[in-house]
Amino acid sequence: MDNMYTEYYLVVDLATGEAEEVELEEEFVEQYVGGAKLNLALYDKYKDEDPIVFGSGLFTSTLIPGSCLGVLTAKSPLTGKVAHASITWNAGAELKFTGYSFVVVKNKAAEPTYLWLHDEIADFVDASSIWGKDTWEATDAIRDEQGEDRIQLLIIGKAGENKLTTAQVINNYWGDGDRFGFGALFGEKNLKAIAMRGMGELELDDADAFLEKAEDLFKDVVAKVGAAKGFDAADYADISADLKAAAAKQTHRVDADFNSPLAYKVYLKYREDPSVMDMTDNWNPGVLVSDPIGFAAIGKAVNPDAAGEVLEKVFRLGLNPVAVASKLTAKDAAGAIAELEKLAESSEAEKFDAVFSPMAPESERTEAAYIAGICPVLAAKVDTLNADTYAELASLTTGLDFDADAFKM
Amino acid sequence: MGEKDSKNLKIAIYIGHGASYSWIWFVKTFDSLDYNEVYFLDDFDIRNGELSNFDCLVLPGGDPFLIAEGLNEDGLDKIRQFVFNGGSYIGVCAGTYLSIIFNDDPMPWLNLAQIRINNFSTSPPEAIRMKYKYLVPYREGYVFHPVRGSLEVGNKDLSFKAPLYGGPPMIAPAENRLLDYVDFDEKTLYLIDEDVAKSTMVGNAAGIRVPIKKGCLYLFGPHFEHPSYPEANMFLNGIMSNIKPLAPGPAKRNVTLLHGDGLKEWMDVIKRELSSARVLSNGLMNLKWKIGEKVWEDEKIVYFLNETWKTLKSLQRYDALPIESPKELEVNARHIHSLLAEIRVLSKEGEDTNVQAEKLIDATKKLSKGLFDAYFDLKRNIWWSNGKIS
Repeated sequence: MDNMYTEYYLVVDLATGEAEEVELEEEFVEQYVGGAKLNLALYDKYKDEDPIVFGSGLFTSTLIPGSCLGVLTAKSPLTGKVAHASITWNAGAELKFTGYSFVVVKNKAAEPTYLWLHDEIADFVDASSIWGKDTWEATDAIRDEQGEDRIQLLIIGKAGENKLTTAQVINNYWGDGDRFGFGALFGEKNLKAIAMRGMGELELDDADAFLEKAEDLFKDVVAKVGAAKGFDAADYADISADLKAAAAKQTHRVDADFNSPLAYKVYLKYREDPSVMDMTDNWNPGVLVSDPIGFAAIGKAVNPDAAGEVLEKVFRLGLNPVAVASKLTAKDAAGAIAELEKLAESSEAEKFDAVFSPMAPESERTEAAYIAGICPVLAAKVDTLNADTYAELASLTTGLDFDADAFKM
Repeated sequence: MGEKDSKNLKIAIYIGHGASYSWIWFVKTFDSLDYNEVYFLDDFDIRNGELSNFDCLVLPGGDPFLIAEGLNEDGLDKIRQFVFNGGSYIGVCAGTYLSIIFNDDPMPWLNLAQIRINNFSTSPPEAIRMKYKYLVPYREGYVFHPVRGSLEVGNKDLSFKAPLYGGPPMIAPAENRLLDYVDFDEKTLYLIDEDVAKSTMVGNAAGIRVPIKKGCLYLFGPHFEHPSYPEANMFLNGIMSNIKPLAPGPAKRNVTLLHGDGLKEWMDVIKRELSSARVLSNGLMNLKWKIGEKVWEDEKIVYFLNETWKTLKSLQRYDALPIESPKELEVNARHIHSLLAEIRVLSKEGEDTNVQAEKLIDATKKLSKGLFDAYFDLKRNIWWSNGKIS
């Protein structure tokens, strides 16, 4: 594919340690566009080899507002059905920069491994020294080993290693859109992480026209997002007034995904004064509330002022906060953390007994965003981030003909 | 002489001891201007008498002290003889300082022309920024750099913008002058008071032409070869078109023609190591190294490696590659990777990494030279055999 995507997608066989570059053909993109839709086609193609597909959308890593999205597609250990988890922040964009718009991970490694993707190179790296480490320690160790603090990771903690269906794939240090127990799949495959760093570039068919449209769209999106930020921007999550009040005392800053004007992620500091803006020697002063719905669930289970610290432990262990919140009985941080450690050590596959909750409200716009590679939280808020807009931009950037139906599953 | 003839010029770019990374700019610009006979010489090659095969020697930016040290009197004399016998010498920044006498007690450099400069003083003006790269001690005084970045140069017929990174304002007779410093612009970075900078620079020569015996020196302060300045590039092209293509060119390189699985395996190794090196170099946190009298920031390594990567990518489309000492290049690529890893660890511990940086620059030069050699070989082959590798 000449435009918007890389020339190849990658098929990795963990059993043999081989990685194959497969041409991403134009006809394939014409038919399946990208994101969840193209992931599903790849899943079907390799379904006999127990694949996990991590893919980008057509606009991922471009100047379209909210173009952060990566999608993780696999058969959920919870439901037994194929599911798509949204991966926000920077991982989706980084995947495309590595030179592979999609990566299919097949079969199972004999020993703990992490996959290191960089500039069209796929390395299988021994992960035995980080197996057993929590996601924060393991993220630091991989970044240190490969020498870059901006390496983006999909990584599991103890919960995933123990193949719990309450496990979640973590995005560097922070929880994200995996509510399907994909963390357990990583564990099953002996796959500690997919690490990514790339400096690739994308080609566009009509770059000037695209830039103009992208700029107009960005202005429109910024106007529609307005001044809302932090938990006010994450109003789809049922965060209680008490929890918001407690979090307000710990709030250090708000943050947004790659190329997004919606700062719905809130960084809480509880190990140092949140009003201090400078970097300090404390590298772990708090937690990024990257998943407001997960935070709301934890905040209902424990004392509001303990929610941040408990959420940190959830992320470190690689657990799904929505799934484990209902299992917590202790209200204080220390008690809840002890319970979480016990949960993550469990050798029995925990069955999911929490109500499924997506990262963003489900709608046609969310569906289109999963294909286009746009943050679904942002798309849910902005009516112009829709299938018609994507179709127009897709035709402009690829030189192919797309209509709005292309952005439906 | 037509422009087409000048495209056959046999051009040697000096990349040896003391040369900065800016020689890459010459490569990119010569390539875009369709000069295909571009070759790379280090100090050993020059001492070894290679220059006689070329029409033109480019001495790019860098550290003149180190360049002179690398060439030593033998190499310096080879360059003098090259010019005396009709060769053209294009000096930029360090290459300019190296070739002129601007002090009563000159360093034992090329010293081919008596040209005074207006940025030498025993009591230079006080720096207002970038003190670490503002002054270079020279004999009883200092060469100082009033400004950096974009500025305007011109003569009665033309004017354009070009970047300056330490090159001199020259005090030269009218008959030698090609271009003067005309003005600063909104992107000029002042290292000293603006008025003092203006009085030091404006009105003095930015480019000169000095015929010597059968040859000629073309000496520039600004980097007319910088790929982001197309008008400056065209000026350089005009200079090149005045040089007669007479030299035979170097002997054919002793290459291994890599193809099939061998090429794939070789390419995989180089890509893997270079990619890892790029990742590491991007992760360095504002390191600076003083090598000789020149300060290298880590971003220069990033640029150097990125350009080397682009060259490697451009070679990927070929079914066969003519590579000189492919195994050595593999070792070199691994060395670059391991040096950067070492620098990262040592710098985190607060240790000095100058020794590693010096080795890194040298190894990166060797790797990029190997790739550029193949690139220009293929470019010439394509020219000759209508798209097929001969």
